[in-house]
Amino acid sequence: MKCETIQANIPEYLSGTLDSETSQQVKMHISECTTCRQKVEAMNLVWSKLEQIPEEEPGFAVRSRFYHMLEAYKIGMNNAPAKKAVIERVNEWLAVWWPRKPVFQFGITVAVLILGILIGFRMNFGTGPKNEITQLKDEMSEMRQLVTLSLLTRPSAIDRLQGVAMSKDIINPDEKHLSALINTLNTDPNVNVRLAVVTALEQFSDTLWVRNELVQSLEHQQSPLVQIYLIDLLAKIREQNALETLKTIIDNPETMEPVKKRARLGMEKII
Amino acid sequence: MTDNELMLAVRGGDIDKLGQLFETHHKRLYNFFRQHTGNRQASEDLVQEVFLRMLKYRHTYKGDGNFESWMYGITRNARIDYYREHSVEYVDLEETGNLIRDTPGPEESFSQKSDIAVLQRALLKLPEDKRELLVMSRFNNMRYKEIGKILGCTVGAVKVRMYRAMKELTDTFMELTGGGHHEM
Repeated sequence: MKCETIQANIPEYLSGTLDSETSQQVKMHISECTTCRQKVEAMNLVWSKLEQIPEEEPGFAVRSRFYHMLEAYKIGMNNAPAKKAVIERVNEWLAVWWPRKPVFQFGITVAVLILGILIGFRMNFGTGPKNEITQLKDEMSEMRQLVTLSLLTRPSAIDRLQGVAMSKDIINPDEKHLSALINTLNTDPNVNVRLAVVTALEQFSDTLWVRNELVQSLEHQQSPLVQIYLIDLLAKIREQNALETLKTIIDNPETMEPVKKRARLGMEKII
Repeated sequence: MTDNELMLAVRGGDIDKLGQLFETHHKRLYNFFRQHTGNRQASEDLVQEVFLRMLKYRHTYKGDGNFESWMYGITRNARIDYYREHSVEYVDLEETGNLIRDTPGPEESFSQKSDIAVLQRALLKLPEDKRELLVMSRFNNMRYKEIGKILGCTVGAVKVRMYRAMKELTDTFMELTGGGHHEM
C-alpha cells in the first residue's frame, strides 16, 4: 500500500473501526515507514487526548426551557384554527414529497419549466383554444354592436356620429344593427350624422335589402348633400333599381341643379 | 420504545414523547455544540433550537432511516443558521478552560489538564467543516457512513476529509504546545 492510502486509514486505525485486514496492512506499513509511523504516533497522541475532553453537564435551565417550550407548543397546537390545520396538513404533505437536495429541486424546476413550454406550444397550435379565441371575438363583436346601438339613440349628435363610426368596425353586423343604421339615415335630424351613415353603409351594400333601403331613402331625403352622397354610392355599386328614382329626381323641378347633375352622372355610370 | 418509534409517535401528534428523546440526547447534543462553538450559552440555545425544529419539522421524519442521522441533519442546519444570524464569531476562547473538570483526579497531572485545554483551543482554531467532522466522529462516535449521509458525500470522501482534519488538528496542537511533541 502507498503512504497516501495508509494515511487516509490512520483515523480509523486509531479508533479501532478499521477492518482487521486493512488494520494489519497499516500495522505492517508503519513498522517499515518512518514518516507514516511518526504521523500515526503524533495523531494517536491527539486522538487519545480528544477522548479525555470531559463531557459537560448542560445547565439546569436547558431542561426547564425545553419543557416550557413543549407546553407552549402543545397549547399553540390546540388553539390553532381548523382552517390553518388544513393548510398545514397540505404543507406537511407537500414537504414530504418535495426533495431536500437542491439538485433534485433544480431538476423538478427545469421539468416544470419544460412542461410549461410544451403546454404553451400546444395551446398555440391546438384547435381548442382557437375556438375559444373565436368565441371571444364574437362576444366582443356583440358587445360593440350593443354599444353602437346605444350610441345611435343618444341625443348628442357627437355620440351618434361616434356610434356610426364604431359600426364600421363591426365585421358581421346583424339585421337589427343594419336596421338601426338605415333608421338613422332616414330620421336623424343632423345632416352630418346621415352623411356618416351613408359612408358606413357602403361596406354592407352587398346585402340586397340594404341596397333597396338605400334607394328608398334617396326618394325621401331632402338634404342635397345627403342626396349627392346617396347618388354617388348607388352609382358606385351600380344599383339598377335606383335608375327610376334618379329619373324622378332629375325630373323634379324642385331638385337643386347640382343634385340633378350628379343624378345624371350616376345614371350614366349605372347604365 | 426505540428512538425511531418515539419520533414516529411525535410525528403522529403525541408530542409529549419528545420529552423522552430530549432526555436521551440533549446532553450529547449540548456537548456537540459545546465542542463546536466553545460557548456555553450558544450551545444551550442551540439545543433548544434543535428540539424546537424537531417539533416543527416532525412531518419530514419518514421513519425509514436512522433517527440520529435525521436529528444531526437538523442539528447541522441549526448550527449553520446560528452562525449566519450571529455573524460575529461567537467562539469564546477564554471560556474553553471551563470545559476541563474543575477538580482533577488524582491521576490527572497539571500538564495533562493543560494539554487538554490546548487541544480544545486547537479544535476551535480549525475551520468549521473540519471541526464538525471531528466532533461527529470522535465525540458522537458516528460511523463514516452516517457522517457521509449527513454531509451528503461518500464514505471515501469522509475518510480523506477525516485524515485532513486530524492532520490539521495535530499540526495546530503541536504548534500551540511549541512543538514539544512529534513533528508532523
